[in-house]
Amino acid sequence: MKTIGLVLSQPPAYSETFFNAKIKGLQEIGFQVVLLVQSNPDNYELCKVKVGYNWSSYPVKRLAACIKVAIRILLNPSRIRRFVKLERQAKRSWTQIFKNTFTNSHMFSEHLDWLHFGFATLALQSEHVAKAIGSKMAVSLRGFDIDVYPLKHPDCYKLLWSQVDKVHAISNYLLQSAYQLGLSKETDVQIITPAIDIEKFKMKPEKIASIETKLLTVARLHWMKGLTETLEALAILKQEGVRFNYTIIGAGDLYESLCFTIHQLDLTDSVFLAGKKSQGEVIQELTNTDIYIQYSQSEGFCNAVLEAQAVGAICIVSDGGGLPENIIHQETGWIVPKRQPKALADILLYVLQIPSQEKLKIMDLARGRVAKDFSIEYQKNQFVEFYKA
Amino acid sequence: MKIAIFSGSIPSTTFIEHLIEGVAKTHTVWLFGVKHSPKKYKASNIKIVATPKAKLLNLWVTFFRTIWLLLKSPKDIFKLLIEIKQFPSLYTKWNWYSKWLPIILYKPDILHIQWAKDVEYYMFLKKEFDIKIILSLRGAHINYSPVVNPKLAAIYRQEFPHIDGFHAVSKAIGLEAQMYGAPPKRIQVIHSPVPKCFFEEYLILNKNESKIIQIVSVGRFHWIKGFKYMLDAIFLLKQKGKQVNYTIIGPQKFSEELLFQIHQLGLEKDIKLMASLPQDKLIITLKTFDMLVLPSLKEGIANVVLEAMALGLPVLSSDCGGMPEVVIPKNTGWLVPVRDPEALANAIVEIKDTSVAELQNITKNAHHFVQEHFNAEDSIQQFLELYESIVND
Repeated sequence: MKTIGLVLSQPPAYSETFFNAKIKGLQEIGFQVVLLVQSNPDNYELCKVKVGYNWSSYPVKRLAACIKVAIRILLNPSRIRRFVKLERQAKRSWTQIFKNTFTNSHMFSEHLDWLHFGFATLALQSEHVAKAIGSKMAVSLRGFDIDVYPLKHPDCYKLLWSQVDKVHAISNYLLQSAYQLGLSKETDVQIITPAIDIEKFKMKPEKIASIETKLLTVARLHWMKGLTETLEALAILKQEGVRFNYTIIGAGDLYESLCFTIHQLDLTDSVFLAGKKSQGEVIQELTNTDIYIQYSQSEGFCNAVLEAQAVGAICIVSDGGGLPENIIHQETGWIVPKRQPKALADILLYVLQIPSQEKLKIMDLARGRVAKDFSIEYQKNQFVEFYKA
Repeated sequence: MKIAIFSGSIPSTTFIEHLIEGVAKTHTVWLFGVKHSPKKYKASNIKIVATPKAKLLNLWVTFFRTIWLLLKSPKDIFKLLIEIKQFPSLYTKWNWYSKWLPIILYKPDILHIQWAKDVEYYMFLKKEFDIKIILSLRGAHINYSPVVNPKLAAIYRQEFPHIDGFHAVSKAIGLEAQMYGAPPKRIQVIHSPVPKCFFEEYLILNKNESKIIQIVSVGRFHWIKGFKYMLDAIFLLKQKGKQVNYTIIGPQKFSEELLFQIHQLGLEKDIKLMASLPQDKLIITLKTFDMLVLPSLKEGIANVVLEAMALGLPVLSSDCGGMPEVVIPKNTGWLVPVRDPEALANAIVEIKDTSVAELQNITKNAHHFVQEHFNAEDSIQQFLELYESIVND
């Protein structure tokens, strides 16, 4: 029986299908899973959770945390010695080594076959922990890890690439980008895309044609999501006389700028910023949607697009990042060049006028593909395969 | 005439400081607000009646001011106490009491509020103490804050009809204020002056014949400044085979969004940043470029465009806010629609391909236009006329 230590900043919320499905799947096969996190606010119960040092503003709490760390360190002298030696070999300063020993202390007492970092950025400053505790090291690559973080911190993964035993990418795009960032082609890798529980997503009933087209995006209000460009495309649609109703579900920093864009483009009466919603509400909203738009600058893969396909919303996505792996152009949806509102508007206008028979065909193909290639079952088997190596 | 120029903090931003010093040449100017750093004025008729930032000092100063007002006009203290009742906590009550007290103690004839968001807190001075209120309409406070914040829009709608006079930095921003009920008759457009040194450094344009197009923008990275459209434009220019060098003066580093965009579009070699420069160095640097571009989504009137025009540098601006009032196509510069990278790219090529004679003609027009409409003397004179008209009303 293998034991997997999964490193995250905190346990997944119960709505986060990817990690929960992964944990459940591994347990079903007979793997043991330990979550190694920085905090555990909601007392996660699906598996054992180990919490690292948490800086508290209360001196008493801080002292207690320090004592806990000291005990953990004292109980694992040989592992700590190995860790420090590896850190010295990598020419890390004593101050940094001290900090790293401190922040990684919760991992030193674990007996693991695999230490798997859920995000590449989480593995930074923990690159030697796996070797020190005698386990193998795996890392998952996600959008922000690869698209944004290295731009601000060039060469940040140099040490990680040299230490990691196996890399998991959620899309081929992320894997290819990782190669460009210095990951060796010799490293063992596997692409495992996100998956959804198709049973939760019932195909929407055939809708009576309405005058207004319902458009939807589910995304954080963040520049990466291409929402400004989407609104600019919709402004063109409005000029063409198309009547539509566009909802964005999500919250974030871009709220102010989006409000202004909606006002400036005269879209106040047809665009609605709905804020954050629960998973149930999102599914409900998806079932009322004619066209789902995901016009991001880049995405690691994008679960929301899978969900939209599962309920039978026609998907139009950008060619940013891993999105083209999510849709087969003109078969299960449409892929539009990113950052070109005019191109998005053209495709929207085109899709709006295709006959409903053709639309139905696309919806069926999309749902079928999601059910087949992106099922939880498939993902589970892939992860078993992943740790077999 | 007792004039209070009020921005909430002492000292204020450069252009408000210019206004204070300009008005003080002929009138006594009263400054209220929180003193954030030491400031001494040469002119003796600038009276600072600050609310101290240090809490203990504020306690003492406010105590003595209270006694003074009690001796001077006890009724006013009661009015003030009623007014602070609206605040929930004792601390905010105290805060506003100590901020309002000096204004009531020295009761200016005019309170010229510089930032529209302050209107909410100072309108009672008109109703209760008969102090005339003038509001400056500048930038974000009118252009997008009320659009984004419906509560603020409601406050504007409630208060703007009662304000005695408005100073608008452009016609466009005056129109924007009318949407919140500002009476058109009470709005006066007074342009912000361009510093003299920019006019003095004007030279007839000497066209750069190199193939590389040298473009400059000045500004901070905020979504309202529209830099992302400019990066898209640079990308389009490169696709067309044009060689471009784009410099942005001001920010120390790229925002995450622009950094990603530059990487995604492969523009690393074509765009660079230059830290903010003091005015004399800025003037020298600006002159080394072929043109200045303003890709903003909204502006009152962008000073940097006026400064470039004064210097004799060709300008390309997006058609937003007050910009079309100064950038007149084929006459003083180039104007393109907002959010339109293709139009920006085409205009950049057009400027590069314009003959020397025509470029010289346009930049000369631009220089004269700015000199005529944006000089310091006229601006101060217009403010004085505005103050007088309102006091005598």
